[in-house]
Amino acid sequence: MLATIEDVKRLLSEGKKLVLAADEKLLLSLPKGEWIAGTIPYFMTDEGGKVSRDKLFVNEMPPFLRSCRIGLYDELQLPEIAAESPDNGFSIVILPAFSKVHSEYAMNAASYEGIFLKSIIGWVSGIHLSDSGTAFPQVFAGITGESASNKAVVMHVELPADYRSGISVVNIFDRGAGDEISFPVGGFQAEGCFINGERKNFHDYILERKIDTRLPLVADFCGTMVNVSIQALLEKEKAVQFYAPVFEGVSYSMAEPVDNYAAKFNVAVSSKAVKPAYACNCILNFLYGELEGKKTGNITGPITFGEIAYQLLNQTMVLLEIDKVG
Amino acid sequence: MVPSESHPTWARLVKGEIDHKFGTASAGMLFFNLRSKYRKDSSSLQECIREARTFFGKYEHIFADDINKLFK
Repeated sequence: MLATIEDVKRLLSEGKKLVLAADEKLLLSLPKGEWIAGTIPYFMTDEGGKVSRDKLFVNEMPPFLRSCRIGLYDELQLPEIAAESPDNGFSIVILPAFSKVHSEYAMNAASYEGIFLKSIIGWVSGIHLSDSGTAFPQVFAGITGESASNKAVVMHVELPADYRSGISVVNIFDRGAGDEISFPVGGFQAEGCFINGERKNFHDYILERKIDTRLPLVADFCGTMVNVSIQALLEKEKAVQFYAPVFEGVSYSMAEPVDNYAAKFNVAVSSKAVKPAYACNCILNFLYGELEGKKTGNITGPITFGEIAYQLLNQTMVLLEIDKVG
Repeated sequence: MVPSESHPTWARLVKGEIDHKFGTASAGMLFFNLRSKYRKDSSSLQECIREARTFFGKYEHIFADDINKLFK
């Protein structure tokens, strides 16, 4: 829910454990407590997509949780996130965009030992797009009051034995029927690529084919569609920059175009009978799908510079669900 | 019941010889990454199988249908 700074202070004074998203100046004015946060002024609210610099998005952690630990992780400590995540519970990770921890996590999270055995969800913090060059994405660990632009913040939440958590990914994109694209070298930037096995420059290929760069590259990860979004075409370098890394040797296709983002999301999340405990959606969906004022089912949460469901994702919505068992 | 590591289907899954589409992101990503790991280093096969089996063991309640289908 969107809340005022007074609302959030009251929740903290009541001992609530919170995950917050807001403009930096609001987060700086909060007292210490059991909260983590990332900077962002874009939100999915009950009224639809919204931009706000004077309200905070609040996710209250469930009152029945068994324990809650908060920590900041630098790029060397990041692999420990999976090991420290509870066996029964979940971890919410926030990474500041364009930082070393962002790129380290994007490149290597899938190889962290045991990462798929835990419920690890999160997002990449950002800034208001009009503040580019003057503001920097931050994360906050409320327990110590520290903020950082070069560390990840994590809240590890352990659940009682009669509760289970699960993560799902809502991706409205599918692989298009066009060329098969692969890259000889992985990373956030690509020059060379293979188009149906033939060596090409990816920058030139996009221009020649007049490819809509609002569409992501999509790879099929054994049934799960994983996107890589295009950030920029670098004319001078004849290179293409991405919001998440492409991986060497993986087969990608450009996504099928999507006409109505809000309608697609509404259909995709309509099967969710219960509102998820946590969710976020990508800023590119918000921008390209013109989601300001539009609802995406009953899902609310921050709109982010990248999503985490185990590994870093682009142009997706990620959801955490908690169910009582037995 | 999750089959033992010696069941030949594990190796075929890790090697990508079985094209199974998993219904959850965690399984899809796990197997995609295990296949990449195996392609880079074929001596990691047993380690990959162990990882896959541990995963199915933990989430047997979710993957009962996949297990029945894959190991019939």
